[in-house]
Amino acid sequence: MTTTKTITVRRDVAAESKADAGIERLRLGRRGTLVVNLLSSPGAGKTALLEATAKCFGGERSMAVLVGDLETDRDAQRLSPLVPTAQLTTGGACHLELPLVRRGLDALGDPQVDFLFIENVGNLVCPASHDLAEHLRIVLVSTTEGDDKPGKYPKMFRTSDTMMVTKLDLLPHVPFSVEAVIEDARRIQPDLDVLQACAIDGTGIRTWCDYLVSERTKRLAEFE
Amino acid sequence: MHEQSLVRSLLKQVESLRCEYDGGCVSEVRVEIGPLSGVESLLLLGAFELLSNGTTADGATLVVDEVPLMAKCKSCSHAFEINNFVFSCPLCGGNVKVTSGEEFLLTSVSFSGDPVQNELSTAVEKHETASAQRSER
Repeated sequence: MTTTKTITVRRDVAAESKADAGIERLRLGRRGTLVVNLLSSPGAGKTALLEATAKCFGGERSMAVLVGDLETDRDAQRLSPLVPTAQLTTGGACHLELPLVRRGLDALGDPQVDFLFIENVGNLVCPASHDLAEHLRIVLVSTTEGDDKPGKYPKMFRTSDTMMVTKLDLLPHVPFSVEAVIEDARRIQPDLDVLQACAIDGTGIRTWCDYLVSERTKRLAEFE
Repeated sequence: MHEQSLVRSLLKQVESLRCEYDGGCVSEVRVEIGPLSGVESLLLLGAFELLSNGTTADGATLVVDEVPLMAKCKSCSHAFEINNFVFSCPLCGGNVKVTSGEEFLLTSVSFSGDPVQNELSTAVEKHETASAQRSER
């Protein structure tokens, strides 16, 4: 006779990867590196924002970038003249996971920098479910995408600390309301910080850099 | 399609429970997902069928329980179901803590028959090796 035994548990399937990310977050936080996970749909301006950030910081703050894409090293080619950059190609996968991030850190020689930016694969869905050991999660929404995105991708906005509205210079030409996108996003994440910028003409970039510096101080205090 | 990597983690946990409880063949795996778990039921079932093939969970039924998004108000303690992803208290407007619907949980594993006399090197690990080799290329 076949016997059946049922074991009842309540285990988070992602527990192991979350714990692993926690260890990496602690390691990088203790040595003064703020890890910033940048997420958005493709073409929202993550690379342009990082170029502007590198120029704005100049020698004032050190930074490195891990940039994720399905294929090519085009983004790394844009960023590497400015800051240490490693391209992470996922070969078709729709998001980054921690082992790839570690590989990128190794490729850069585990740099001692103030900011490690992870430019995630352009996608508002799957990257929301993966902890990359970041201290700060930022979602970008460009004015050309439409102001209705937060409600369509609730997990992305619910798990983000900050929303950055990009391509402000195009506002006069597109049907996009900054107030509407903020209202929609804060229904989902009432504590969301909101910033606005245009990487091309530099609007909002100084404020963004000051925000990063202040978040670094605030968020790394708990690791001291 | 990140369900495949989640199923790999799920199969690892199932295997670890099988070893822990000296279970036999895995006949049923039960999981809980919610609107903010980032997991799509149909994709999950497809990935489970594909990746459990050749493991000790081969042929097991995956049962997916979909739970609602529930929250509790941090100010007035009102407990309620979140509709349309509005994360504030309908009574006082306060901030809320989500109490269910955000995670992907393994809730039970059923085993039938005698313990499988198998080594720890299961097909789950074989899958991982194959996947790692693919990403190396």
